[in-house]
Amino acid sequence: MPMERNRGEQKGGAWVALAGLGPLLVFSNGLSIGLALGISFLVVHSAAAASALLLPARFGRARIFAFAAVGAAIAASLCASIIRLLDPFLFESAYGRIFIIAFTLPVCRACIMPETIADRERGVENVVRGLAYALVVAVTGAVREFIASGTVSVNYSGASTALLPIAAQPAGAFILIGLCAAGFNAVMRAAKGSER
Amino acid sequence: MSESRNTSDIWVAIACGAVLIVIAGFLSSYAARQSSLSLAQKVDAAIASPARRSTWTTIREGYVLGRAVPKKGHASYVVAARRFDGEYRAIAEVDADGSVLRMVPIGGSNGFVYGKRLGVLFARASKGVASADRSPLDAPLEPLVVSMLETIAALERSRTEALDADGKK
Repeated sequence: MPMERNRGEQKGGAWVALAGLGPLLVFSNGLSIGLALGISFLVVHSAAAASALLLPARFGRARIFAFAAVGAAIAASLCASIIRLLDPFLFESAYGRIFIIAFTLPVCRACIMPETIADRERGVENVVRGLAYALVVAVTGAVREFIASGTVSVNYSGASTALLPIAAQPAGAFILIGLCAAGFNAVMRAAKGSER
Repeated sequence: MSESRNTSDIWVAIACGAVLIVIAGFLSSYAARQSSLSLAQKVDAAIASPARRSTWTTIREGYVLGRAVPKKGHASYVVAARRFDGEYRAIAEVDADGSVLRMVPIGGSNGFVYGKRLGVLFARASKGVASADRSPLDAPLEPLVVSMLETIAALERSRTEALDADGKK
C-alpha cells in the first residue's frame, strides 16, 4: 500500500513537473530554439541541483535555496552568453525565454536541499531527470517545427514551407501536450490491463 | 566555534558567487562585442559590400534589432518581425531622412506562415508604390510594417540630427 502510494506520488510529481515545464514547451516551436532551451535547461537544472547537493547542510534550507537559485540564474546568464557567441540572431529571439528557465518549477524544486542521506545519495537522479526534461523540450521543438512546416532544420533559412502552421503557435503546443498526455495514459492503461 | 565556522563558510560561498557573477559579466560583455562584429559582417555581406566595415549598434526598439553604420554610405537597420509562431528578418538600407531605399531579406523561422507575405509587404514598402496584389493576411501585417518603417525613420532622423549637432560643435 505505501509502495503504491509512493508510485502514485511519483507519477503525480512527474505531471506537476511537466506542467511546470509548460512555458518552455510553449516557447519551443522549432528545433534550433528547442535545442537552445533544452541545453540551457539541462545546464541550469544541473547547476541548481549540484548547488543544493554540495553546499553544507548546516547552512540551513533557506540559505541553500537562495544560493542554488543564484547559481541557476548565473548558469542561465552563461548559457545566454554562449548562445549569443554561437548565433546572435538565435540569442535575440531566445534570451528572454532562457532567463525564464531559472524560475520554472523543476529548477525551483532542484534548488531545495535533499533532506535525508538517502535523498542525497539519489542526487544523480536529479541530473537524469534534468536530462529527460531537456530532451522533452528539444523534441517538442523539433516535432512542432516538423508538423508546422513539414521539414526540420537547425539554421534559419529564407525558404519557408507550411504544413500545419498552428503547431508553431502556443495553441499548437497545448494540443500536442494534451495528445501526448492522452496517448501516454492510454498506453499505461493498456499495460496495466495486460498485467492483469 | 562551529557558529564562527558556519559564518566563514557562508562568506566563502558568497565570495564564490560573486566571482561567478563577475565571470558571467565578463563573458556577457565579450559575447556582446563578438555578436556586434558578427552582425556587422552579416549586414555588410548581405548588402553585398564587405568593404563597408560597418560599426554595429544594438537598439532593440520595436521590431528593430540594431543598426550598422559604414564609414561611407547609407546606414542599414536589421529588423525582425516577430510573432508567436516565428520571425522574419530583413535588412533595411535607409537614406539620411530615414526613408527605406531597399530591403534585403535575411531569412526567418522555418514554417513561419506570414514570412512570404511579409517579404512582399517589405519589398512594396521599400519601393513606395501601390500594388493590386492583395491578400487577407495584409490586414494584420500592414500595421507591423508601418510601425517598423516609422521606428526606422525616427531612429535614423535622431541619429543624423545628433551627428549634425556634433558637427556644429
